Amino acid sequence: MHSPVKVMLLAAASASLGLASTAAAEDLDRPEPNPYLAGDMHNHNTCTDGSVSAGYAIDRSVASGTAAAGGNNFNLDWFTLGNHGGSGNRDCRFSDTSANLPGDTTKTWTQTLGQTIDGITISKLKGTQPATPTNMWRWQSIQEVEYPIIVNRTAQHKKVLIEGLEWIVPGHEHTDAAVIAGQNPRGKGNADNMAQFEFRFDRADNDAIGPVDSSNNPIWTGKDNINNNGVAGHQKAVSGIQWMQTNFPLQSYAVPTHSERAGAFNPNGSNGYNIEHFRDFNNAGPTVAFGIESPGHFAQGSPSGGAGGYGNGAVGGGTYGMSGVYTAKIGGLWDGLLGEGRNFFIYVSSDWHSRGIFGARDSASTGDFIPGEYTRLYVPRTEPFRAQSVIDGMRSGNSYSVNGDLIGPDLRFRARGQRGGWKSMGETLVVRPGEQITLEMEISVPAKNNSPYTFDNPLLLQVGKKQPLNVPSLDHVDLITGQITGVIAPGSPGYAVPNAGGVAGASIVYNPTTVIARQIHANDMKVQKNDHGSTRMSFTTTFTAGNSPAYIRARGTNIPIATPHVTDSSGNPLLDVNNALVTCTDPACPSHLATVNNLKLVTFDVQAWSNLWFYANPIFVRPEGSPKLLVERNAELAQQLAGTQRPNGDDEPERE
Amino acid sequence: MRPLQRLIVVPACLLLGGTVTPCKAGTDLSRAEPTKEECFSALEKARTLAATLPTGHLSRIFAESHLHQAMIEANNGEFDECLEWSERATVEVNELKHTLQPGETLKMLRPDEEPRR
Repeated sequence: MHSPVKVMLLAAASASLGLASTAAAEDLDRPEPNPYLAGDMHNHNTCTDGSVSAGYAIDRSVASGTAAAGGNNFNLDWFTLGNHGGSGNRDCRFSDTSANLPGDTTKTWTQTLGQTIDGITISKLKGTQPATPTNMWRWQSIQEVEYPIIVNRTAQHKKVLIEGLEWIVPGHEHTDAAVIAGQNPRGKGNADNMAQFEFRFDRADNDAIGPVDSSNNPIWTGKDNINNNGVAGHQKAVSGIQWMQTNFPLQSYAVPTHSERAGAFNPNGSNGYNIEHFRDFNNAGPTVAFGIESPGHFAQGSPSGGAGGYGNGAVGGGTYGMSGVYTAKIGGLWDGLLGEGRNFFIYVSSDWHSRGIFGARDSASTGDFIPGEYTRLYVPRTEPFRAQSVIDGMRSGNSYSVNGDLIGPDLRFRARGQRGGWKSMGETLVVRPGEQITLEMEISVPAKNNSPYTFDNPLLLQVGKKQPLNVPSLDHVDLITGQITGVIAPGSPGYAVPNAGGVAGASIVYNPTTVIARQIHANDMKVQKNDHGSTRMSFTTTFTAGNSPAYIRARGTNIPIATPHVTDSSGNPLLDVNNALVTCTDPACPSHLATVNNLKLVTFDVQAWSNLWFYANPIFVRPEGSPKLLVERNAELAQQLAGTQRPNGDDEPERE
Repeated sequence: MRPLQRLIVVPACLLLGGTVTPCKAGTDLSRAEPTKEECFSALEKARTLAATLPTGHLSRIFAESHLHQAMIEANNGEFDECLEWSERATVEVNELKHTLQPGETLKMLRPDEEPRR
C-alpha cells in the first residue's frame, strides 16, 4: 500500500555554487586519516572459474608494491573472497596454466588428493559424488581450502580478509553474500556458517549430503534440493535471506550483483531480477539485503558490447558508464527503491576472473581487473577495523564506489539543515519545510591511477581535451534528487513492475520524480593541490526542504556533457557499446584493441580507463514530524540487534 | 581437462527432514541449465571454427581464450556459461574483430619471462 504521497520539493537555491565557506576552507587544511577504506567483495580463483590461485588473488589485491614474479599489487584494505557456489574440479592452491605464472600450472583435485600443500591436506572429495569423483563441492572448498588460505594470508598481510560467496541464486542469477559469524582468521575460527549457507541455498550446489558427523549422518539436514528455478526458486532465495536474517542479522549480507546481465526475471528459469525481487529480499532481510552491486568485468568491452560482461540481452542492452541501467539511469530501478525510502545502496567490485587473452602479470586486460586495480568500494574506517566493520559500513549506506581511482579515499558528502549536525550517506536529515539544506562535497582526485597507458584519453580527445589515461580528472558531479513516496506493500499496485531485456529495459521509469538537480563542473569547485600530487576539490550548495521526504545522491565522471558516443546532452552515460565508435589513434594504442578497417577502437581496458565514474550513496531528507523512513527504521533495527547480540570475534583481525 | 561427470546426476537426494533417499531416475535438478551435451557440442564446433584461422592470428588467440574459459565452466558444471563463452569464440572468428598491423606484436609475458622492473 502506498503511503500518503506528498511531494517534497528540493528547490534549487540560487547561486551558492563555488562559494565554499570559510569553515569549509579550514576543513581542507585539517590533517586527518582517510575516513574510508577500500575493498572488494566479488572475485574468483581456481576453486571455481577464476584463473589464479586463491592465495595469489589475495596477495595481488591486498599487498603493496610489486609481486615477486611481476605485476603491481593493489593494496586494498579489506578483501572478501566472493567465489561462486556449486563445485569445481581445479585445486585452487594452484593457478591455471593460462595465467602464465612461472612454475604454476593447472592442477585438479584428482591430482592432489592426499598431498599436503600450503599446510592443507585434502584427503577426500566429500558429499554426493559419482563413482569416480572429480569435483569438490564448494561448501567443502569454503571450509577446507579457501578459509585456511584466508587464515594464512591474514597473518601475512595484516589486512581484513573475509570468506564470502558469489551465490548462484535459485530463480535468479547471482548475488554477493557473506556470513562472517564464526570467522576469525587471526584466531583461526571457521567458515562453517558460510559453507552451510552455500550448501543449503546455492542453485549450483545440489549435493544431497554435505558434511557428516562421526556416525556418517548429515549435519546440515533439511535441504531443499528441488526448488531451484523460476518462482519456486525465488521463494527458496527469499528463504535463504530469511535464514541469514534469523541467524546472522548483523553478520551476513546478500547483495545481488550484475543484476541486469541475465535479462528480466523468468518465472520458469533462472535469469535476472525485477524490482519486486529486490523488494522481497529487502523485506525478508531488512538488515542483510540492503543493496545492489554494479557489474565488474570492466575490460570486456568489444565493438558488439560486453563491458561488464553484459551482452545485448541484458536489461538495458549493456552497461552505461560502466554501470548497469538499474543504477545508471536517472529514475531507474535503484531510484524506484530509494523512492520508497528503502535502505538500498549500491556497491562496486571487480568480479575478477582473468585478464582475458593476457596472463595475470600483464598490465593489459581484455577481461577483468584485479581487485583494487580499477574498482574500489569504500566503507568507513573504524578503529579497530575488522570484518564486522565492513558489513556495518556497507549496511549503513555510508559507502561509495569508484572506478579508475577517479576519486580517492576521503570523500566528504554530507548535508545539514539550519539546526543540528551533518548527516552523511545512508543517514536521514530531519528538517522543517522551507528550511535551507546545506550540502557539502569534498573529494580528492589522485595524481594517478593504475592504468598502464600514458597516452591521451581518446574519448576526451573528441572534445579537445588532452588527458593521459593514467591521470584521472574530474569533469563534473551530478547531484541527483528524487522524491520518496513511501513503501509499497507486496501485492499492491506498483510493487511488481514489468521488466524487459535488451534496450527496451532502459526505458522503464521507476521513479519519475528523479532529476539531476545540480550539475557542478570542476571549474566551479574550490581546488587545492595537495603535497602528494592529488587535487582536493570541494563545493557547497543549498537546497530548500519541501513538504515530503526526498533523497540526494551523487555521481561524478571524467566525461563532459554531450561527449560524442559517451554522454548525452544532460550528461547521462550512453550505452557503453557506443564508445567503440571512437577510434584510438595514438601510436601507443595497444595491439589488442578491436579493429575495423585497420582502425583501433576504444575497447577493452582502454575503454574502461577512458570512461570513469563514481557513485555516492544517498542522503535522505524528511520533514520534521513525518513518519520515519524505512531506511531509518531498519538502521534502528540494526542498532537494536547490535545491543542484543555479541559482536563477532573480539580478536578477529584488525587492519594494521 | 577431463569433462565433468555431471554432478546433478546424483545417486541420492536429501528430502526435507534430513533422510537420504535415492533420487528418482531422471530427476532433473536444474531444468533451466543447458545440458553437458549441448555445451560440448557448441564447444567443439567453435573449436573447429577457430582452428580455421592461422596460428597466431589475433582473433584465434581471442577465440581460444574464450574456449579455454568455456572448458573451465564446463568442468565446473556451469553449462550456461560454457555456451556463452563458446558463442563468444564463434562470434570472434566470424567477425574477425582483431588483427595485428604489420610489424605489430602482442605485448604479453611468457610464463618463463619476468617483466622489466
